[in-house]
Amino acid sequence: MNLRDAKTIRWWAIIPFLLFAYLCVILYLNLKSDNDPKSVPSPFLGKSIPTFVTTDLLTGAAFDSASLKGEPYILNVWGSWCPECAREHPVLNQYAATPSAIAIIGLDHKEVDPNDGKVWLSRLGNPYRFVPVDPDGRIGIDLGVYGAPESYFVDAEGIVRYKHIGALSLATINQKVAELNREK
Amino acid sequence: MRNSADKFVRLRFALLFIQLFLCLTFFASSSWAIDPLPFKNREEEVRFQKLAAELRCLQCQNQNLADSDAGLARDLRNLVFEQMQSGKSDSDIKAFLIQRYGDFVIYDPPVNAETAPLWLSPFFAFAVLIGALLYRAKRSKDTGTGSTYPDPKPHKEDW
Amino acid sequence: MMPELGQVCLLLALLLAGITSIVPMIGSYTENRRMMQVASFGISGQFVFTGFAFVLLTYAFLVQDFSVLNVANNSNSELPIGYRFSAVWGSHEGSLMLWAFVHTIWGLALALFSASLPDKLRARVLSVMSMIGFGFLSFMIFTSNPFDRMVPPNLDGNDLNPLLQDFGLIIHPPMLYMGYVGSAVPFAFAIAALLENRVDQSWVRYCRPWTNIAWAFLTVGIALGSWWAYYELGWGGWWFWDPVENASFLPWLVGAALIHAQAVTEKRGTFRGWTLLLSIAMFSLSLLGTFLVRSGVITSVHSFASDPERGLFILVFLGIVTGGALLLFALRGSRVRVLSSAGLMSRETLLLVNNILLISSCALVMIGTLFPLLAEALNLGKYSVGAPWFGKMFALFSIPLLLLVPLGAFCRWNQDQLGRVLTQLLPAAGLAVFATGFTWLMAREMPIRVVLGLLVAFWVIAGTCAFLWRRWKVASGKRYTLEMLGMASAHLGLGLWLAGVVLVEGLSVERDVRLTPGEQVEVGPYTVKMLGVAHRSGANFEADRGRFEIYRGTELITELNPEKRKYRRGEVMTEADIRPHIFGDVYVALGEPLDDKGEAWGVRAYHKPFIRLIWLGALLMAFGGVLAAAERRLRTPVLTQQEKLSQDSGKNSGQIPGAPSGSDSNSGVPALNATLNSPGNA
Repeated sequence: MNLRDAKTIRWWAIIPFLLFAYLCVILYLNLKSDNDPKSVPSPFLGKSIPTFVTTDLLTGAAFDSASLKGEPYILNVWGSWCPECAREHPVLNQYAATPSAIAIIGLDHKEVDPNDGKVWLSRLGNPYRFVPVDPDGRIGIDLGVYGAPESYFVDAEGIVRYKHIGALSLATINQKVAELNREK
Repeated sequence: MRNSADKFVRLRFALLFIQLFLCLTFFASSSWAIDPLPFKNREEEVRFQKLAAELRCLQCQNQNLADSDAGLARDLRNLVFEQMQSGKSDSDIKAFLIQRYGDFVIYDPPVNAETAPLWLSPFFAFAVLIGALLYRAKRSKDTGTGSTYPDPKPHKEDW
Repeated sequence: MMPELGQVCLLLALLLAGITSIVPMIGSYTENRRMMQVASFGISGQFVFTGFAFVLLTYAFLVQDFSVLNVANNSNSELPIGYRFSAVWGSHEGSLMLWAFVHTIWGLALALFSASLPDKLRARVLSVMSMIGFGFLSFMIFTSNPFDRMVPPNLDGNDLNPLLQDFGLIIHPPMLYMGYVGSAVPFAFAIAALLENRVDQSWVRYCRPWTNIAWAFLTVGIALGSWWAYYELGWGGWWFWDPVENASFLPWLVGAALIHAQAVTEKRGTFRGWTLLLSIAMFSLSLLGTFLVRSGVITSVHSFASDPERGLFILVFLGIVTGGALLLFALRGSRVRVLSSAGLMSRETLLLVNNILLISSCALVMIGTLFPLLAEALNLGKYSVGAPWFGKMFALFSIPLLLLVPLGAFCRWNQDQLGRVLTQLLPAAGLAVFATGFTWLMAREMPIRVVLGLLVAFWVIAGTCAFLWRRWKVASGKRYTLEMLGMASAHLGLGLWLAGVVLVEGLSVERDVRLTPGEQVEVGPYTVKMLGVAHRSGANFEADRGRFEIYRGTELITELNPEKRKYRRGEVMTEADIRPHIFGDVYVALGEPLDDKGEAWGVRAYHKPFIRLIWLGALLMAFGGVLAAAERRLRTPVLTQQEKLSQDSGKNSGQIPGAPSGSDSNSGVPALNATLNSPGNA
């Protein structure tokens, strides 16, 4: 067997290092980004929000979400069983009280007993123009809801511009609403 | 040391909040992945189990619908069952869920331009390595080393 | 006071690690023997102090010192004593303590068993080990200190996560970590060899037993994890392709490739650069696994509470260790190319193809695990890559690998003919076909993919037995070396593992039913009959305990008692009950009460045929690794006259590998020394 030692450095020897460097960059980017690996972006972004028909929790009247078209609104998904929603609620109240506030629609999601929802709202305040009910969660599924609270920022044409996972802050609401109004 | 302990505790609470939101029912109720459903026959049951194993529970830390306790998982299982009963095919059901939740909900990623790196890279790696092997073999042939190597004498330890 | 003592010990260990990283390394370059001898002392000292710190942490858990934050978060006054031990490593900080401790164990073992190593090599290897230890100790001390106090102390603790209150937790992490950390040994050898610019057969020979044992531990660790998940999580699965599971699988695949590459390099002198690269890769993947599990970039049921800050520390550490190693390789590793004249059909080629398939599989698993991260970073979208994808892709790459397994042992080095090899294996092939046909006849309803999978499994088993048979008949003198037996055990294990996998995946039966007392459900060949559910109290939980009778036909086999436990900490856990059997497990888990009286319950029952073969196969593989490591020829390598000369002169870089000679070792190449015995020969 002829054994020869190559006295020169082979060019391919740097490839493992380069691949590794690339990997580190990807991992670093992921680490630095605020991306929650579990938050799922909505496939409805930039598309029309699915419409639904149900009843209103407080008035008992029929509610057709298509009727909302023509003005921008926030669709907030909540439930009395959800502690994060309780934490978020004062922010919604605060926003709803501002003069230029757009409508907030509060979808009561997976509420076992509608009374719980009513009691919760009377206790914490009601910033919602309408409170459609979704007792079995099917409307939520149609919207792509997987937890609560979640909020959809919908423009006047019914296009979803932004979906927020988790509790909203006043700053986020103001920022996103401003964007909604600009899109007009 | 004290400060890092405080920060640590606060961070733990923050993370707990996030986990609480996203996986609420695990703590709150004791719903469970064991959901007896009225299947018509064994084929249907097997088909359901296979489908549930391919779908992801979005509320959970990487579990499929079949194994997850979460409320959403139960709702989605019921939905899948209903759609199966009404005659929808597997691909119909998957398309229904993808339309609402995105590709994230399926554990088998689609084949498209974005996922091309995923599907092609293993074959690419294999091709590169095999190419290197063949290249080396060709080179040693070309340099005309031939085989000055005498056949090793068999030895008791040699195998 | 004790926890503070623990802190002090850790700091002392850190100090010693720092000293041992620097002094012997310098000594190896300046040929200062005193400096090089610091290595042994330093390594032993690290073991003593880290070990003592570990003991102190354990003590804190045993006496339930809730002023220590880690104890308060992971233990409870009602926690049974056995789990207080395992709670030590049940958290991120504690697991790091375990990692650091296991690292010093390997370091100590290395120091004790390396007397025959040349001084410079030994000094550098121990120095590199200490550098790694330094990294982990600093990570632990500065970001994840297990001895942090909680002021004011809690009166009671949070309790250990009930999922972790289990026998599996006691043994799975230590075994796994022995494997992960053990891969630092070939890594250290590789770095030392690169530094010395001397990559020859002798360092591989030293390396082989260590690599084999580390890989064996990793095999056992992964198998234990699989078994634990199976009975603990309640869904009857043994592998989920979860990112954390994949993180342990990557170093295992590379380790398997490394074992084979080392065999070639040790016996034939070729693949040296490749073996170096694999040695670096195996440990790097262990570190990558650590990063993935603790940084929060991936989602997994197994991951620790995530902290991006810690993740950054590990990433930087990984970058330095692996980046440094790969740079060193780029500068020096490629100089040691040895062009082999081995023909296209030869054992070298077969083992190279084995490596290529294993590494491609490793790349596959890594890409699948990391693609969701990549896709998000590059804005390609949000995807999930799970069992369906991994299953089919991995099968695609493993099948050629498995088909080739029996060929290696029958193929000659350097040059052979495919026809000759296959002819020798014809009886084995025939046996495999016969066995498959027979099995199919016994169970006609088996799906075709199970039949084909069994064919491959039988082929692997029959081929390995054929080798053993041939050696028995043909070899004169010593029939079996430990190395051969190790190989046979591992390959047999592989065959059994595959058989278990195809049978379980293809034939298992799952039923989710509603049962009232007296009702029953069929699951496979068994019948599960519910008797009732009663209440019971445990040490730190309240439980509903079901009573189920298992029948085969009309014969009562056993009674199973699955439980639904509500822990005081809050979690609700399902404790399934299993009737284990080599031919198939019966597995029953309790769901929810489905009526108000609590009589009707949701029940899940499984029949898992031959699932035990999976872990039995893995154990055989690990056993094979240990056997091969015990090979006498490797344990006491005796340098040839030439090797001693070249070491003392210190001027040869990767030159002629000295064939191991000496009384009992001879790789069958007597001609080599005779023709190429002058150091300057190229």
